[in-house]
Parts: sequence; C-alpha cells; structure tokens
Amino acid sequence: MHFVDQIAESNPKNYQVWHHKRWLAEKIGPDAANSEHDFTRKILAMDAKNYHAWSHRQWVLQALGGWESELQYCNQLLEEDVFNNSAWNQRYLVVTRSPILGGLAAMRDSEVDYTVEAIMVNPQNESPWRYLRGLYKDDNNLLVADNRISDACLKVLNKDWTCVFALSFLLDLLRMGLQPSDELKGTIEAMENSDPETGHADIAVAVCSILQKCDPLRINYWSWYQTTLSS
Amino acid sequence: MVRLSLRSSRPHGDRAPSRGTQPSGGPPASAAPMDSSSQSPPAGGDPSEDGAAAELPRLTVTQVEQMKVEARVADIYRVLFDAAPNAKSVMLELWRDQHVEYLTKGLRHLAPSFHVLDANRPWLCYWMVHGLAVLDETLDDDLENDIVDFLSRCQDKHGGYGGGPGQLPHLATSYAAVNTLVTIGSERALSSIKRDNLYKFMLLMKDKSGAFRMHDGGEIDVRACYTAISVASLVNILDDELAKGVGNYIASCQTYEGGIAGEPSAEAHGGYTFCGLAAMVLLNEVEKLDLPSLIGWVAFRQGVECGFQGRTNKLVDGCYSFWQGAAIALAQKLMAGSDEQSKQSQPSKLSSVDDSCGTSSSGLASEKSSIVDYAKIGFDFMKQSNQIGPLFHNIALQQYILLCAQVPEGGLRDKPGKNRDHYHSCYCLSGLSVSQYSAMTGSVSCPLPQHMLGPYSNLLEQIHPLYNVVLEKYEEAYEFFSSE
Repeated sequence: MHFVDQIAESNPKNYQVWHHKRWLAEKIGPDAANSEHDFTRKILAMDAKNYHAWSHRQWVLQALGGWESELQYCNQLLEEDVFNNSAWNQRYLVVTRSPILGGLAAMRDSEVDYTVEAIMVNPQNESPWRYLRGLYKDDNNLLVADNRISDACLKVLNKDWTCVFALSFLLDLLRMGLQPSDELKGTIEAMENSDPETGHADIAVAVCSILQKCDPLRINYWSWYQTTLSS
Repeated sequence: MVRLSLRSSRPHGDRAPSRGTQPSGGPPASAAPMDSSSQSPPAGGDPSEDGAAAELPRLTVTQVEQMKVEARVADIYRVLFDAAPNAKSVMLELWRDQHVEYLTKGLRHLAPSFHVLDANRPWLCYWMVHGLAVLDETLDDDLENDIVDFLSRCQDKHGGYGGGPGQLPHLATSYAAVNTLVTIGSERALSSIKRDNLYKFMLLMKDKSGAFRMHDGGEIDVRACYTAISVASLVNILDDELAKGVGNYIASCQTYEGGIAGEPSAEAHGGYTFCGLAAMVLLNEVEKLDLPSLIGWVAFRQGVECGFQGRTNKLVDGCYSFWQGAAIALAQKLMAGSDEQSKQSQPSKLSSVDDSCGTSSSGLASEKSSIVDYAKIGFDFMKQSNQIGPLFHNIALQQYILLCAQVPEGGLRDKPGKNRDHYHSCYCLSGLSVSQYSAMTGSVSCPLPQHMLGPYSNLLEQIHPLYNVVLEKYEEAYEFFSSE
C-alpha cells in the first residue's frame, strides 16, 4: 500500500491507482481505515476537491469506518473555504449516514442553523443554498413550515433584492405551498410593483418574472419554469 | 451576443472590503455527544459587500480561482463587444480549416509525449474521427481502413475492446471504438464489431448490484453503466439481462443537489449527470430520476463566463459544453409542452414497447408482450420534436466555445490559458452542435440563423445526444444492426 500511495500521490487523478487502493484496503480491512483517511486528507490538502480522493474517502468510511472525526473535518475544510462544494457534499453524507450522529432527523435542526449562518455571510455562495434544500429532501411540508428558511430568504432579499439563490428558493417554497407573510408580499411588491391583492399563485409568477430579469443567463429556464406554475 | 457582469481585470472601485470576520456568538450546542461539530460556519471573503471592515477580506481558494478565470474571459469578451461589426463577425467564426487540420494530422501522427495515452488509443480515434464528422469532414478511404484495422486489433478475442492491441478489454475503450466505427460507418467498419463476444464481455462486467464494472475486477460507476448501455443499444444487443438493476443503481447516484454522481453519495458532476441521464433514457427508466431537480441543477451550472462548470463552485470548462449541454438538451426533449395534459412537468416516457415479435432476444413470438425494444428507444428519441425551447442559454454557450475555447492554430481547449487537446476539441465541438440544434421546436427541420452565433457557416452536423455520434451515422448504423 505504501508503494501504491507514492504513485497515487504523483498521479492523483488516475482511476486505476485509486481503484487498486480500494482493492488493497478492502483486503487489509478496518485496520486500514486510519491510514486511508490520513492519505486522502493529504491529497485533499493539495486539492480540496479531488473527486477520486473524495470517492475513496467515502468508500473507506462506509466500508472500514472512521466516522468519529468526519464532521469536524468538514468543519475544518469549510472554515478554509466555505465555497468548497465537495466539503458540503461530504457534510451531507456524514449528517445523513454517520452511524454515530443519529441521522438526518436528529441533525436537521442544528444543520439548518449552521447553513443559514453560512448563507447570511455569503449569500452568493450556491453550496449552502443547495445543502439547505437537501436537508429537507423528500419532506416539502417540513421545509415550508420551517420559518427560519423563509425568514432567511427575506433577510437576504432585503439586503440584495437581486440575489438569485434567494429568489429561486423562495419560488420553490411558494410552489410547495408557502403562504407568504405580509412582509414577504411587501418585499416582492416593492420589487415588482404588483397589485397588493394578488393570491399566492400570482406571487410565484411575480417572483418568476423578477428572476427572468435578474438572472438573464437563465431566461429560458425561468420562462419554462413559469409555464409549469400555471395549473 | 451575451453581456453579463463579469469581474474584469481592471481595478474596481466597488470591490469594497467585506466583513470577512467570523460571526460573533458562541458555537451552537452540538446534537452529537461524540462529535465537536459545534462551530459556526466560516466566512469567506465577500467582495460584493459594502461595508467598512477593519480587516482585509480573506478570499478563499475557490473565489481566487474563479476571479482569475472571470478576468481572463472578461478581457476576451470586452475585445468582442468593443469591436466594429465587421471585426465582430470574423471573431465569431468557427475556424473550421484549422480544426480539421489539427484533428486529421493527429490521426496519422502523435508526438512521443502521447505515450501517456497509450491505454486510450480508441479514445484518441473517437475524439478525432467524431470531431471531424461533426465538422462534416470525410476521411480518406486509406485512413478509414487503417482505423478499422487498428480497432479490430484492439478487440479482445473474448469480446470488448482494450486501449490498444493486446490490452485488457475495457468498457470505456469499447464505447470509444464502437462510436468510432459507427462514425466511419462503412459496411466493413460495422461488420468488424463482434457483437456476440461484446455481449458476453458485458455480461461478465455486470455486477450483482445491477451496475457495471469498467473492466475485469475494475471500478463500478455511472460511467461504466453508460458506456455499456450506450454500446449495447447502438449495436442492438441490449436486453433485460444487461438492463436489469442498472436503473436503480443510477437513480441511487442522484444527489441532494439534483445532479448525478459517479457513485452513491459522491458529488453531483456534469460528466456523470450526462452518463446517468442518457443511460436512463436508453433503459426507458427516466421516471426513476427527479428530473425537475436535475434540470434545476444543470441550468445553474452555466455561469457568467457563459460556459458550463462541472460541479457547483468549480471552474468553467469547455468539455462541459457537451456533458452539461447534452444532459439538459435530453431533458428538454423529455419535457412535454405546457399545453399537454400533464400539469406538473412530467417527462414523457418513451414507449417502445413492442407488441410484435421478432425483437425479443429470446426469439419468442408473442402476441401480447411487454418486451422492450431497447434499440428502438434511441431511434424514436430523435423522431419526436422538441416541445419546449432550450432550458439553457444556447447563444451564451456558443459564445464561450467560439471565443474562449477555440485556439487559432486549430483545436479547442478547456479555457483560456490551457492548451488545446483532442478530448476538448471533440467535446467542445459536440457541445457547439448540441447548442446549435437545441432551439429547433415543432416542425422546424434545421437551425435558424437566430439559433446560432456567428455566420451560418458555423453550423455543424447534428449529433445524437444519447450516444454522441453524428445523427446520420447513427441512423445508418441503426439500419445495419436492426437487420442483423
């Protein structure tokens, strides 16, 4: 394994050498967990997004263990670069699959707080927005009911009404049945000068047309999205 | 022309220091006894924030790299925007002759440094042959024959193609070899494929999970699934034995972000998203994916540079013009129009369920049968027209490819500052083609000038987005293999 590690280190994007490591580690068993984690940590220190390294690290966790310090490792990487989407993805794995953390339901609350804070500091960082959505995967009702989420969108929009991620998240919430607060309606009206008597379905359409203006690169996408709103 | 706000390399007055400080307040109480997870999330520098901060912003690696690329791209686009109309149209030309020369020369001779690709020679063939076909160039008969002969020598006697003569058969090189032979398209090329052996090889590569290994004892991932299914469909050997379980595996690789990863739990990635989606279409199991979520993810991979990135918060790269562009073009074809009866955007499931006999691999004649004619899925896919327009900004993508990916000496590249290579040439051109044909809806039979950036002479050959071979060549191969 030491021999292979040297080759992997100088060829960190080669499929075959990583697969060989996996094959070897499987043979060695749980004893290999620590050194495999050390090794991937080393590779990730050079390139924090190396896809092979992350895949290998995930495989080691699931096959050989070593979950104890993984969330802390994610914290560290996000501390260094909060835009590192691979680290957010790893965080998702840990939060949902770690045998020592209790699962998504148990972790969701603190994770929402963590993620919302990250969003507030860098609203233009796409990763925590997607992560936040992921925390409520398959449970739209819970998502809509969590006031922290719509509050976060509102807060971001009050500082920057063109924030595409906030508008997009809001649009999804509205589509899932969010009843917009008066404050939210007011904010959107201020953006759009729309009629104050509109029902929520129209608010979704209003947000969609704001997006077509603020996010011109995705004008085709938002136009299509709008057609899926009318039902 | 697409003009978006890019950070330029000129100093900006509005790049005020951000509040790059840590959020105040103690860490929240941790829910997990063993894990000291209780830290507040960190603050990356936020250059767009106004504010009087005492400290300078600490920009993260991601931000720094992104800004560098944006600056280079902005410089290129500025030259274009400021240019006179005549100069503009020259700049937006596809330098066909140069690309043809680069690709053709490579087929005959590659420098010694290419030994690193010694296990990938069918890929080199495919990248060049397909690139030329997309440019509507035909090869000399001699060259074609030589390629067919070479690929035949890459064929393992027990089935499948390796990276070179005598090398172990591998699904990726099998994919590259078969796609090359289909692109050449001669009787000789197509009949050189030993289909029975190929089938046996694939069956051996099938894992009990339903997924495929790339080679004997090799890695399992979504790429292996796609290369197997694509080839099997193309040469008409795809059956229930090969197909079973693959769809469930691929579905398990769709992540919380909406894109598809190489393996379950890995990060959503453009290459695997294309592979996963294309395979699911060919298997007629798209309904197992969350398609709106996938579309939403891919749409957001197109950035201010106008090209596509492979993953969230990573850098633009010309090759994703195909991987992401084709993925979203596939999704576009699957979406019914708004005047259809489906209220939520339900993808239209292609029905190639054949109730006649003769297409089942078991050869049984059944009157009432639900045997799927897998090969026909690929064929029927292109028979239906787009009900909706493109879901990405097709003109912007063309802008990136033409202005940032083209190299004046011929060939295309990842991004400005990188060198050209045959892989990027192949996929940038494939992506350009996808983009040009993406706006054809309804009964329009060829791209209109408004669908294209630059002169109409930029128009490339249409590709089949499920296999990435020129559509015409695909159709000929379909005829050939369905009569075998």
